[in-house]
Amino acid sequence: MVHKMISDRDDASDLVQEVFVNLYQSIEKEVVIEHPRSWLYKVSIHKCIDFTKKRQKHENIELFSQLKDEDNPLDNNEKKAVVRLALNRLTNDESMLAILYSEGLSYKEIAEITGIRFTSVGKTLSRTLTKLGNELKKLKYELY
Amino acid sequence: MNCIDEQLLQKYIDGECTELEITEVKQHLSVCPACTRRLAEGEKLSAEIKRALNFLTIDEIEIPAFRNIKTRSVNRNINLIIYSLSAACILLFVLFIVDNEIMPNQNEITIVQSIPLEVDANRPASDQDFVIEIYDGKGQRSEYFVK
Repeated sequence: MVHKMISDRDDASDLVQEVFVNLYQSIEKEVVIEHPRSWLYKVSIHKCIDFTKKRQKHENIELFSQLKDEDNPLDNNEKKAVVRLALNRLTNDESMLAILYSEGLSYKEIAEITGIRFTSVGKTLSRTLTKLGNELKKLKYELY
Repeated sequence: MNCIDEQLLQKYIDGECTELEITEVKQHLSVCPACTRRLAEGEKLSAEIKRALNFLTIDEIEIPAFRNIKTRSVNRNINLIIYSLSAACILLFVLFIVDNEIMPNQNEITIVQSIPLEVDANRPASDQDFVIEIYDGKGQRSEYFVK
């Protein structure tokens, strides 16, 4: 999940390590974590958002530079760059929602992690997916 | 009958509907081609977005172009061995002929110089006795005393 938000694998690994250090510290301080899975997702997402805020502009330039020729079909690296660019064009909450959805989480878990009301998850998700689909199409990504 | 709203449609796609909602949706879909179309599009979009996002975490493994290195190196080695052996055989054959024809066996003379153990290193060599043994080709031994 972290690697979906952070393109660099080493940075993603560092963030995951930080998350587990936080978990360890919370356990040491005897903090009660009711849903560890949701807790790990939540902390990871916030760390990813903090991280991307610092370097999103720089990353977008890098991603654009990876797109060589607009006329030719995209190779695998270009496809990844396009998906990341499209994700970066969403708000943090939207990209977080789309990624959690791609992880196969239930609406209940998504609501717990994101703070969206359970009854609104479907609607928010539907709009987010449509927006992401449109962004991908704008970047010439063949969805279907 | 009202069309299915986006919230319910997404829930239906993701299997989050209650039994009652599923019945309602199915009933509506049986009479509404527009919603059936929306459902098909929504299902495609959800599946494709998941696929696109999961594609981000797939590591590309670069497989180098296949080259039959082993076969080539074995062939080369075998050829090298064959050539080396051939060259060695020819060289041995030539040496054998040269040894027999140009340098035929001759009677050897072996000279062995023996120095007595009681040699005094402080005295000049000319003052001391030496024995020179000479063996001819027939093995006959001759001793020469040098004073």
